[in-house]
Amino acid sequence: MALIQITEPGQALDPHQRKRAAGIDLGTTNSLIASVREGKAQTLDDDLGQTLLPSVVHYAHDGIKVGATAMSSATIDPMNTIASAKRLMGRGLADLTQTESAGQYAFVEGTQGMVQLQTAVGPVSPVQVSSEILKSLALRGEASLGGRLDGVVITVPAYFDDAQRQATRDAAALAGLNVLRLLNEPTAAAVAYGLDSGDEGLTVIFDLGGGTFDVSLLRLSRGVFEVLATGGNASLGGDDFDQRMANLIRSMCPGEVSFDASLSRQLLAVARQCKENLTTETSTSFELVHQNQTLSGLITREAFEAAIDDLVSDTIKAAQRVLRDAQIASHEVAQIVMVGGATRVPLVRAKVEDFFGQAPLSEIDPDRVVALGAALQADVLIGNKPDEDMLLLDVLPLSLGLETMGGLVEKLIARNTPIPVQRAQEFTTFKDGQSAMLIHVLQGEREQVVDCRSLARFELRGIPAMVAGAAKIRVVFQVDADGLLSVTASELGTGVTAAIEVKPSYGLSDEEVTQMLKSSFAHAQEDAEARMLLEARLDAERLIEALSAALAQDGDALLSPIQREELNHGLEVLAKVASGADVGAIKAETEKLSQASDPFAAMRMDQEVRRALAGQALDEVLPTEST
Amino acid sequence: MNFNQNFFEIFQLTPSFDLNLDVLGERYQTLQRRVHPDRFVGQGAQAERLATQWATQINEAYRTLSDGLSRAIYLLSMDSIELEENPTLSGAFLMEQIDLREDLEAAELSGEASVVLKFMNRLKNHMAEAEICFQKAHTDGAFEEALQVVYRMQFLKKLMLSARAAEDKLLGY
Repeated sequence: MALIQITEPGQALDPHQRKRAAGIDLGTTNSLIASVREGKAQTLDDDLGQTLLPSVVHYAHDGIKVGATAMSSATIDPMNTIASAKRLMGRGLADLTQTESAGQYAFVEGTQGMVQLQTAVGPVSPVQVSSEILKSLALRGEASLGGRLDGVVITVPAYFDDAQRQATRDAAALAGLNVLRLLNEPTAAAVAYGLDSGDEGLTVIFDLGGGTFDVSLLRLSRGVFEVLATGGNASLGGDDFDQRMANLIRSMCPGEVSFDASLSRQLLAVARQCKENLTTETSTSFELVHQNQTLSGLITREAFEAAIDDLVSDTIKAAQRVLRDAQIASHEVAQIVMVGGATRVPLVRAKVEDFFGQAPLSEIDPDRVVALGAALQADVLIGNKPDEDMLLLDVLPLSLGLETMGGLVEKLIARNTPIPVQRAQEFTTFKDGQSAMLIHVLQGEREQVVDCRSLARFELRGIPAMVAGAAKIRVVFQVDADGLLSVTASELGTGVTAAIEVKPSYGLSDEEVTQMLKSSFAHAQEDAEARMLLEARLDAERLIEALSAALAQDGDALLSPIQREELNHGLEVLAKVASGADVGAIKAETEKLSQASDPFAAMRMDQEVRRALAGQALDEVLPTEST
Repeated sequence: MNFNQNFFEIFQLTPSFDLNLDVLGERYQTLQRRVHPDRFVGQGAQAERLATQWATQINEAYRTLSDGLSRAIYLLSMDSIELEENPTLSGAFLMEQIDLREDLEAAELSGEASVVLKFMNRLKNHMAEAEICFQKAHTDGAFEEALQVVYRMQFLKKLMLSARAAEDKLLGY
């Protein structure tokens, strides 16, 4: 019997046509973009040779500025210069801490409960701010790679909840980017190291950034990165080290010196410099100028280390906890990867080395490692490396649940569950004749509703009148490979089914994204219509390409001649419509052909699964029956 | 998607409690490598949806089979044996529950994480023992006995969680 040849799924149809893919590290303080060129992941610089783009956006009537130029406006026009928007992603006004809301920005309540910032050009959302940063990076990518980006991978912190992930996706949509996948930052770092060295075994990613600490345990085997557990502290980072250093310097200044706003700013900058100096030196001197008076002194590494000792110990404790969650001993860890500028602090390295009994890896710049890993993953996802075996199996970072009686949370999916995942739970009515039920979706580890993050609320209406407890409401949670959630609820008891799809309340509605896209194109003098036609055509072409290839491969084996003819006809119709300019018709025909080919696609997938284990099954699995 | 396939069939394994977890892990990876949505990026909503469905099902199958207790419950459900909400338990088992609970309490009161750890190791041994009992009862087709073992495993697992929580507290997490 002749063997049927099948290509690897994901393989580009024309192997010579390389696609432009990039990885983007959208950071709190700095952002950067990287891409695979000549087989190597590289960060992409701007015209001035700068790699890091400060995550700062300045809004003014004469235009929007991003990065270093925006940063220079910070002192003159602080209200309109937005920094650290990442901290506000997916947040409501009520989520802000007192220090945040007392800060320099004027916060206003936005649509769907999301916080917005009042600027000279009107209120802007953190999603819009992030989209400006993404646009700026995309332009840099286009200039470096010589054309429009076909797809990007954007990294997010592992502890990001659903609302924050959704907001990140929205920002990318607003920037007109095709997001291949949202990737957890620690996983990206592992990819950056793991692919080159081909290491196997358990890897700990120790990510200490400016404001957050994130630790993850991954298992690498045969090209598969499996995230076993994640943990950390969302409010611990290098900024805290700077603060401790500032306190130290302050304590060395004479008591009568009053630290006003300007001196405090100077102090923080000096503190940061001292911290950096102590990475290589064992002592450093500082100098502060205040009212014609110069304050100076000497800081030893020893004194600094004593000042931050408890903070560093906290990071080790979090690492310990993650290992415990996965029931792994510290000596079983094969390698430790350092991510984030704050991991340059010698005490951090020393404590990590002491705890794990081995020196952490640090060959790759800890500021770039995440973007580099994202670039590698983007290259694989876009189909540039058809033979690549790498696969990332990620987990849900925080538990998902529903509100039940008494303000308690019933967890449906526990944290660290591999994604994609689907779970269902049945609930019932509380009162006789109850016709509606409030579904309140929450995320977090605590038991009380008030301690968890509220993701969405919606009502299931039209429950037929029944005595209390007779109705059966089935709620289904589905989390996709990006870690994004959709919830449906339906009443099963009487066969009457009502279902609703929700999007977490802190994201943007699809209409809002469309609206913002339209207005931003108008702003950029770009023809929105032309863009939409282009996208519709691309979708149609993608389907034609994929279905034609599938038919050539499996059409004879899986379909009857009639079925095959139907799909061939559909292909012809779509190809014809796609060459026209009617956006609505192209979309409608694409949808029609997609539906018509659904059963065929499902059959191919089933076949794929059977073939995956073919060959090894009979001999290895059923030894008792075959011998 | 073929929803009629049971979890063992997905991995092409013979339904049995005595499972080679290494083989299971390898096959899990082999399957995910083929069906994970990452393999279908940009191939249209249809392909991505199917891939997500399959990857979800494979994750669920792997999660169920890789843990002893859920594997035992799943095996019984394949023979249409479901757990009761308020089962009748033997006097000896009830006595064991009381004893173990008291031991955990005493370990907690000692204030020493190492004492709780020792207790957890004891629970692990009990669990390993129970798994052997289940394996035997299930192979012999003694389903009622197997069901009783599952109740014991459930209890041990719950107690293990309490012990972990107690250890967490003593370690100051």
